[in-house]
Amino acid sequence: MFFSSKIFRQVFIYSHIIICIFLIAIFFIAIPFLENNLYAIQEESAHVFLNSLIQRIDSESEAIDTFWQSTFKEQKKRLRDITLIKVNEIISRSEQYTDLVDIVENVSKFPKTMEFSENGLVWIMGVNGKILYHPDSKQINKSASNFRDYYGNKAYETIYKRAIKENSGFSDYWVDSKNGLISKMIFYKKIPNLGLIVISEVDIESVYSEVSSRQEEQISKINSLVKENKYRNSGEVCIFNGSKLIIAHPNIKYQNKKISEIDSKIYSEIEKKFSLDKKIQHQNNTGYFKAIINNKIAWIRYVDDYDWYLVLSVDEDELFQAVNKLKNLILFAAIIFLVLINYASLTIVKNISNSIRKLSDVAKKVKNGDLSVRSNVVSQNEIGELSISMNEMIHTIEQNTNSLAKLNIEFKQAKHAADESNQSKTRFLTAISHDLLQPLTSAKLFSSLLQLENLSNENADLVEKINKSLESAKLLISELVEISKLNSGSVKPKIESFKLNNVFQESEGAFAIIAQNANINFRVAKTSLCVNSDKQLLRHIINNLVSNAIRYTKFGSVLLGCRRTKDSVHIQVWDTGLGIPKHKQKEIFQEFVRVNSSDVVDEHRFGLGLAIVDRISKILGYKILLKSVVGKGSVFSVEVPMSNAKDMYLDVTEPKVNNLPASSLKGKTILCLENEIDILDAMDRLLTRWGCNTILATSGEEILDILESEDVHIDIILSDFHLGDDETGVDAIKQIFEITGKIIPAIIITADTSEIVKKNILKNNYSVLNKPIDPDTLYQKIIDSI
Amino acid sequence: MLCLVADDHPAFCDAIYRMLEKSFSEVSTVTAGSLETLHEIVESKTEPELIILDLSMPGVYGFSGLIFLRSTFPKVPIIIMSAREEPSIINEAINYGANGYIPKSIPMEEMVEAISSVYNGNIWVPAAVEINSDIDEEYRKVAENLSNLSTRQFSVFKLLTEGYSNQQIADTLFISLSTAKSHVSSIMKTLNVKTRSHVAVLARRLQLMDE
Repeated sequence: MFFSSKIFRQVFIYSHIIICIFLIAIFFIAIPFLENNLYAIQEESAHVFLNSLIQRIDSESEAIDTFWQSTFKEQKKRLRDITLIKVNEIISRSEQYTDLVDIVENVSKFPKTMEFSENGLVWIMGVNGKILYHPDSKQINKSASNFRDYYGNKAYETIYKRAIKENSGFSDYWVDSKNGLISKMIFYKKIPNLGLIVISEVDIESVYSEVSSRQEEQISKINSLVKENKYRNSGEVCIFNGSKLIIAHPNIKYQNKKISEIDSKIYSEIEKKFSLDKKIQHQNNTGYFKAIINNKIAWIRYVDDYDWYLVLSVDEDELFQAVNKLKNLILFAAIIFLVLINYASLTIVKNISNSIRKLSDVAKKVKNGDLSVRSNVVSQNEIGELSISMNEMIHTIEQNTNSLAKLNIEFKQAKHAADESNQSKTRFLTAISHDLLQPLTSAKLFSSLLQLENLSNENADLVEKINKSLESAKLLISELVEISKLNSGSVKPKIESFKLNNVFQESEGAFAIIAQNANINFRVAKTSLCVNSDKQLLRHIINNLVSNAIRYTKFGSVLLGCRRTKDSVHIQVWDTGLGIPKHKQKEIFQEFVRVNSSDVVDEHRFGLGLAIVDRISKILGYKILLKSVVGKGSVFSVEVPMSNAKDMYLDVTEPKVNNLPASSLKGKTILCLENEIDILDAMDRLLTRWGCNTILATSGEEILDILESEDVHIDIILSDFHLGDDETGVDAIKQIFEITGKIIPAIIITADTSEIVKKNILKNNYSVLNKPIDPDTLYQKIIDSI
Repeated sequence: MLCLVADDHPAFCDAIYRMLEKSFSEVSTVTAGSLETLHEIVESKTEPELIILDLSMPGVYGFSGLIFLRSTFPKVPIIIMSAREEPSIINEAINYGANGYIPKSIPMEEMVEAISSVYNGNIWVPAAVEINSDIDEEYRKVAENLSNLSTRQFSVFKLLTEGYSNQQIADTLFISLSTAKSHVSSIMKTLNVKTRSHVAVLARRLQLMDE
């Protein structure tokens, strides 16, 4: 319901737009910004975590390293020491023996006596590459390059090559055997004088096995580290080596397996990265890289020292949990905000629109004329102020209206008085003129009788002059009366459609002889046009114009005719008279103004004719146009509305009652209630023509008096709704019913089409007829009602 | 020729008499200046050969004088002589039974012509006036009824048309209330109507324009 309120709609739309903009700003600018920052922080903390992990691993490895190095150093020292002892022995022997074989043989006698180790052995090779001494005598004299080791492996070639080039050095090599790794450490020392190379070797497998057991221990430690060192809830650490074998993983079952075997997409993604870009391994040797897939994010760190890769994978959701929570919170807040805003605006709008509706009701009442209403809207806001100012405004309007009404009454009274005095002036003039005309008429008759006597020429002339003077006086009086009548406003035009030619003919008949006497050619142009006008007043205009034209024309002609335009007729009177100068063209329509008295043909005449024409045309609303050239003549023309009834004579004032079957209403008695005598008259004429008997009354009281004293039969009641003095036809009819004790059919006639009136009439089951009444409709309604 | 001239201006009656005297042989005139005199003449049972009547005479309401004379002397030609020249009035006068209508403004020669024309049994009206004889029979009957009112009743009738109450009529005419009442009811009876308003409506129709 309130969505129809424009204010509410606006508030609704604006609040939603603002919220939308707010949400867009939050979600597209603030949140991404936050996410980026958060991401950087997360990455930082991931690396910190990985670094600390690496440190722990490092500290674990350090112990092994220390062990390894101290053991290895010791072995190395012993090997060197032993070898140098042997070399020194050989050198000292070379002083005793000249034969190389002797020297070597002697040497060979004591290798096993040396507290070296069971796994160690010494052998001697010539610089030519031939083995000169070896505990295994089968090897003697064999080529060193073909020399096979203890296990039959051909592994000494490299040592030989190095020993040929260098004087002394360490070397080590590993041999794969069925039992696993076998490691040897070798020291060689060349004796260039003798062309001998002494080679000692020791099996350091035990050292290795110690180291590897320690390494295993380390890895299990790392594994437990990985397991224990949790990074958040979803953080998972995995360590794998360069050949993608898993070294540590929280799930122990993945140990020593390929990372591709882990059932998690992030590892296949990491592997994909490796295979896609093999350089990654090398380029990122010291740095990080990351893989992101399926809400998982993984940071990978290469640890050069071990050739290991450390992977920390985390659920993205967890990382951005805060942001997501924030998002949800904002969304939730936005919805709450919207609901609140809508509720608040609804409440406010409800208040405002209720207040405005109240104010508008007040305004409507004021518009309908009820000035006693005041707005009862009380509010602290602008509406309250509006309400107060509105009340003040109505108060001012009321005061003004009252004073205006007062003024209006005074004005009406003044106007009424003025009208009265005007009317009485007219009545006075009419009465006076009637009384003035009587003796004049008598005098004229007497002077006419006198003319019949045999008078002397002189006397005849005098009588003629008396006659003319009387004539002028008579004319003047009648024109004066006429002007006064026209000025008083009592002349009401009766507009009808008639043939213009009829008026023309009358004018021709009236002025033919006068014109002839004046030696003027008076012509009337025939016309077939019809006009809508007051026949009598129009005739007056035309006759006055013609008479005026004849009077001011000394010789020549006067023409009466008309011209047709689109929907009007211009009636024109042409003359070849004196003409009227421009500056006089307005004046001549005033009373007693003549163009030039010396030029007037009939010197007894006062110029009232054109004044009468002017008054009548004002009453009829016509315009008189004048074109004139001094010395040549004038044209007076009047524009009259044309009637559509072309050639036939139509009297619109006559109702077309003759067509109706009058017999059906003959003898019916109809009671007419109407406070306007004119309308009562018209109704009576109509009803009498239909053969009805009428009872006419101007008020309910009048008819009630009669009904009380005698028994009158009434067939139907025709009543006006407003009977004056606040009496209505409905009231009157009710009273008639009460007195007669009968229900009589009734028709209410009204010009008031307001709903209240209609309801009032229909409530009582009366027929309604709207003014103006069409006789056919009235007839039908009466027939229907009886 | 015995001519009844009813006009309230003695000078005019005299002028008419002299004019008739010049134009017709053996003319004698009876003049009446008011409705009362007219009634007296009627009561004296003298039947004139021609009646010349002014429309506006003291005590005469509209066409009531004409209607009265027409009903009293159904066969005597009546000429209306009036200062009023409206074609509608002329038309109505002819319809109420006048045989001629002479405007007072026309020259004497024409007057004489018109009078002799009517005396010879014709209807005479000024040349420019057309006569439509479509007046209602009902209407004429009302007019006739009205002409049957006595002089006193006529005075009451005139006051009724102006909306006077019975008491006001009694006060104006210096008669008792019951007399006024009986006058009013007998007028209504004569006119065959039931209400005062109806009387006013009928009176309006007999009124001369602008009277």
